[in-house]
Amino acid sequence: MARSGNKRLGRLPLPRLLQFGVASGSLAPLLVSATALVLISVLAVSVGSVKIPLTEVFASLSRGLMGTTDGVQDTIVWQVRVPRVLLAAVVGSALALAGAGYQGVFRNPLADPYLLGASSGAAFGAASIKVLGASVPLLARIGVPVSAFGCALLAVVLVIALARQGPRVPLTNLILAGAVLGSVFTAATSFVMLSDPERATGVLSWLLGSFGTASWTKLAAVTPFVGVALVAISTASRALNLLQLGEKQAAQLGLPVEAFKYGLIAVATLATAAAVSVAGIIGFVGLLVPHAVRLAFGPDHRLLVPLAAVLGAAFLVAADLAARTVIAPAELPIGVITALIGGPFFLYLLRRGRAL
Amino acid sequence: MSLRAEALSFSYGERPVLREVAFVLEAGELVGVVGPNGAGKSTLIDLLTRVRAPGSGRVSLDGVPLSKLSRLELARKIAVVPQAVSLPHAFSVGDIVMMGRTPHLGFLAPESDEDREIVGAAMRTTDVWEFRDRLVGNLSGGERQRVAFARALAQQPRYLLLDEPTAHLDLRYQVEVLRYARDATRRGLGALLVLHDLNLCARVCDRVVVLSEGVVVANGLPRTVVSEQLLKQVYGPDVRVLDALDPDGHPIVLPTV
Repeated sequence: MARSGNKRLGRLPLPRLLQFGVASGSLAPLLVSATALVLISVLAVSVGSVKIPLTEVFASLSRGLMGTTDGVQDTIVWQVRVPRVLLAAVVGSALALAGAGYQGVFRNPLADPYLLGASSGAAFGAASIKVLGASVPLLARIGVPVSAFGCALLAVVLVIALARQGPRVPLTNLILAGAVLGSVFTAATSFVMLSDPERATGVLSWLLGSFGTASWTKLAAVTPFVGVALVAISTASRALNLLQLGEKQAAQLGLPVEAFKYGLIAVATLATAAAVSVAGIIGFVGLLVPHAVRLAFGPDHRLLVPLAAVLGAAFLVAADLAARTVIAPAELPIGVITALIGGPFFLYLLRRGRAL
Repeated sequence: MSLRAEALSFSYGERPVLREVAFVLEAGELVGVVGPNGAGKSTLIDLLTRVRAPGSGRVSLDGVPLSKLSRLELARKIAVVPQAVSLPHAFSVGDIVMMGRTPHLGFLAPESDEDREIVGAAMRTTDVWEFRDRLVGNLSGGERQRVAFARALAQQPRYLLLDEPTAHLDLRYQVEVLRYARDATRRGLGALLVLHDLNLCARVCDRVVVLSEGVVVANGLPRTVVSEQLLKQVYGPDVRVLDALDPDGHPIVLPTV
């Protein structure tokens, strides 16, 4: 079904070609987004302190795939840039998926991993293990994501409990509770870091959000969790659509509302914790990406969820590219870039009120 | 074949909302539920769809206790037409009506041509087919009510529960919506109609249940239930029922302001 663009509801005035209904043409925007992701990723591998021409990039990539890397250039491409770009993509996907999930469940376009306190909770959980448990080998490997997930879940549950008024979770309460609890967890994180100044520097650079230490190992650690989140939240698309009718109507159309909500919050929090445990706190991706997709393509989660995953990846790859090039040879924390873009966008949404 | 409430009681905290409510909705029957604001009409619909659990008593659907059915099984048998204001604005009309197929599709199966046919037929029945690509936010209240009705029909239920489906609608749309309900019962569905307008209710319903302070105070033919004595008891003294019937043989209720 063709979807008519609508100015009153704030749809972007897209050219006719880009206005797709889900029934007929959800593949086209997905293909366009995926192509954009591939292009920006290849560019991000090519650009850096050492410029590598595109033809060389492809040559190194194919040698890497064959397992016959040779020389400095191949090492830069295959051991430094490719894992970095892929990690940024996976983390971007995770945060955008988490944002899409939270926004869908709370029926609130301003919900995101950062504002709900999930990121700060995950950071506290991960930092605690990185600092206090680093001397215990097994704990250092497995403990970080587990502790990040546990603390993130605790943060989200606390925020919802604090914000709740009867069955409703009002927007202002949610944002206030998220901000306050986020601050408490951030303070607790600082406290933990100060207890071991030697490790603090390394932990701080992780916490601020950076892909500078990306590696295949980190990529392998985070990807399965994000894969689970992608499958789970994509399969929940129709249920998320029903939930937009309100909990009562969703239940009357067959959705077991409570179980679904808690399950989806858990999955979104898992994606957040996985992202934070490898890349620190990167704000606004989870807010900005799903929201922009909703503005452009409408509220149908069957399109929104996969598009958010792809565009979240593309956005963070681009942001990381900017973070390591604008003040080269130094690097900006990537959170600086996402906050500079996402902060004003958030304020714009607040001013505009919620139309969706 | 019936939807049966037996001794249903429900309270919000200490405040009782429904007390020992019992009635039967048979297949093919259109039953009106009237009563003052706060009489427990909407709570009754919540209990009949298990959105809330009764404090005591039970609901059975074609002989099966409601508590034995899954949400999807329940939604295949009972559809609710909510007040039309409560539809999300940014979905298209077609998307909303297709949501009515969820009980049959589950949450993963893709929509089949059969589903699209059923949805199309439902939209044609309530005359919203030409709006199928429009966003709900751009429709009038009456149009949205017809969309909500189409969604309930797309559920292909055995029982329809209508929660003040004519609220906020002008006379023409009120008549239309009640006609859809009447047509549905002629096709064998049972329909429960929560309504404030006593005249409309008396005209269209086979039977009227009067709720007052959570208690069923009357349950019977419109002509016998809609009496001045009963209405004064339920709504207070400012109501009159004319001695004469209207040309179609229905009682006429007037407020005395």
